[in-house]
Amino acid sequence: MEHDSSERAIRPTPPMVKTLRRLDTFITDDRVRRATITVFLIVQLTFMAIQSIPPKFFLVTAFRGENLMTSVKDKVTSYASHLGLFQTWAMFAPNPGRQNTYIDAEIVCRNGTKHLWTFPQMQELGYAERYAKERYRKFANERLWMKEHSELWPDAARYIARLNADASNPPQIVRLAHYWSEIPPPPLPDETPQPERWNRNIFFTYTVKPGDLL
Amino acid sequence: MKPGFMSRVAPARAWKALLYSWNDFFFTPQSPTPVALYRILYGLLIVADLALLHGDWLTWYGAHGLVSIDAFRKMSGYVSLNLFLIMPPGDLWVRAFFWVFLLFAVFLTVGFLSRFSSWAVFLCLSSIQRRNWYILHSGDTLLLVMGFLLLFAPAGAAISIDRLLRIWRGKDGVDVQPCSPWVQRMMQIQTAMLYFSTFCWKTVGSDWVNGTALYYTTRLVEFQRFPVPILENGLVIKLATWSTLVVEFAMGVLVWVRKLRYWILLLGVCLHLSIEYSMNIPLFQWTAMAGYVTFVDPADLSRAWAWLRRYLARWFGDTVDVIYDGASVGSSRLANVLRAADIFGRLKFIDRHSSEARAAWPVLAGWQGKTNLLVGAHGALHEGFHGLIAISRLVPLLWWLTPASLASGPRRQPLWAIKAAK
Repeated sequence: MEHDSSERAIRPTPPMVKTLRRLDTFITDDRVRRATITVFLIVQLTFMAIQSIPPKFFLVTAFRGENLMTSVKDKVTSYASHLGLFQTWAMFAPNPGRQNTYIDAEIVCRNGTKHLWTFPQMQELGYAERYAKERYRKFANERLWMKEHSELWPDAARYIARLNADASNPPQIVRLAHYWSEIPPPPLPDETPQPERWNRNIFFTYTVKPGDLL
Repeated sequence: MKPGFMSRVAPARAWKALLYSWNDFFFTPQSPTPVALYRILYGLLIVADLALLHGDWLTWYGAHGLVSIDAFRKMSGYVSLNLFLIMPPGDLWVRAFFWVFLLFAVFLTVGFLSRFSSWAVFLCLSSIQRRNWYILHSGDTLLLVMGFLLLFAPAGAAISIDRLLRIWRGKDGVDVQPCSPWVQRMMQIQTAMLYFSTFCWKTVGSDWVNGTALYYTTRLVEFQRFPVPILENGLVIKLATWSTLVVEFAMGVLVWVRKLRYWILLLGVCLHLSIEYSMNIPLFQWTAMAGYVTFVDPADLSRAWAWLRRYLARWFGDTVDVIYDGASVGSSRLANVLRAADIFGRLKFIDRHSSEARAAWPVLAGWQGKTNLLVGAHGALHEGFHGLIAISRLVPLLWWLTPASLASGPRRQPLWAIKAAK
């Protein structure tokens, strides 16, 4: 046994183990660690700044960096989106919205009767409920009606049809309508405020298929 | 001196100074307590977010929700951190996903498996945001980017179950060890960037500059919460609009001036509370304000905590003696765990073999028991589980035992404890 252990003792360290040990020493070296973190920090800070600063900000336009900023931003956005780190902070900016809006659905049933279904409207809910249901506002009032989000329309129509499914009189047509009213500019002194005027646009009509209600 | 010498030396010095400042800012070790506090707030925000979403988990993420899984698969054209892409279809899986998500959010809050939990929470959060981005607001974006930074933070190094377990295993001491604060700095920068960015965006438009922005935001009925009659006045609207810009600029830029920092954070808090009062934007204000703890100097945090301890002392009453056996490793470690958990400083730790213990508790001289810890409260000694119950009111980690302390009167104390009292 002693002979074996001495043999083991003088056996040279395999190159692979040596390399791993060197790598371990290298990685745990404080300077290397710091340098690695520094590179990460610089990349993150650059990406953070490029995504956050608007290309039309006066300090960017003053140096004529608008085009450069825009093109770099496009590339960075792609990386950030993959990691889920896309960020932009244009809250109520550059200008706040000037429209009050809501979405409803006109449902035509098999016997020809029509009724309306409306996405939850925050102003009609209690304080606690509107806190929980705010995402309906985001989805419907800010996203659903826009043409660039038309991929959502069939799903939304099917969902509304299922919500209103009645086996004896099933929904046959769902029409999604967008209502909006412009907020008039601040009235001048002695000027009477303008009344709000509502507009309506049916932006999608869906014919319900039997399988949609399952 | 050779000509041009200064011109060569000056940039080198400047570079060295820059390097020194960079290293000092990002790498000089400091207490990880602010990051740990942020971890707790972050975990609570995630739990609150999931609770608010709870009624609509299947509406937003279900196979037949408002964005069906088929439509989502067609739309998600690129690879992203999204578990829904690999998850089997079916609402049961969606429900299971959310319960697991909630479990890890709770783990993160209490600091159990902190590193793993922070990765799990980030992955789950990223997944739900990729699965349905149509319902996201800036608060969600902020949660995700801060969650990414939290992955690298020593989040479990303080105020965590992980730390108590490390102390129990003898791998950590009672005092919190300083750590490299680079993640905390990044969190500070991210928070400041949020404000600076929104300031920049607002200066690009006309309404914020001409002072009418709040006129429009207050007339968006879908955002209205509690009434603010004062914002019917044109002059007040202008002042409030410009004040918002000033506070956002200050939070982005002036917050880095140490002398002004706490005043600016206070202004930020006022801004957010006023928005929280007047507008219905769930959790965003709290998400933004949670980042403020990363700006608090650990020394100030300690001072504030010490003040709070003194203030709360009158509510908790006298300190309670915890007698441990210094000769026993198990007993000492248990005492250390309790020391770390005793955040209000209401426990007084005494080695059983010390003269102080003999003086305070003469009955100990003749006692041959092997209990790890004894608790001396109200003139009696309690051992084992009864000891924990006796201190449950004083240690937040044991608050869940408090009902038992109310239920167990003197009659239920062990005989030994009653004898000791006599």
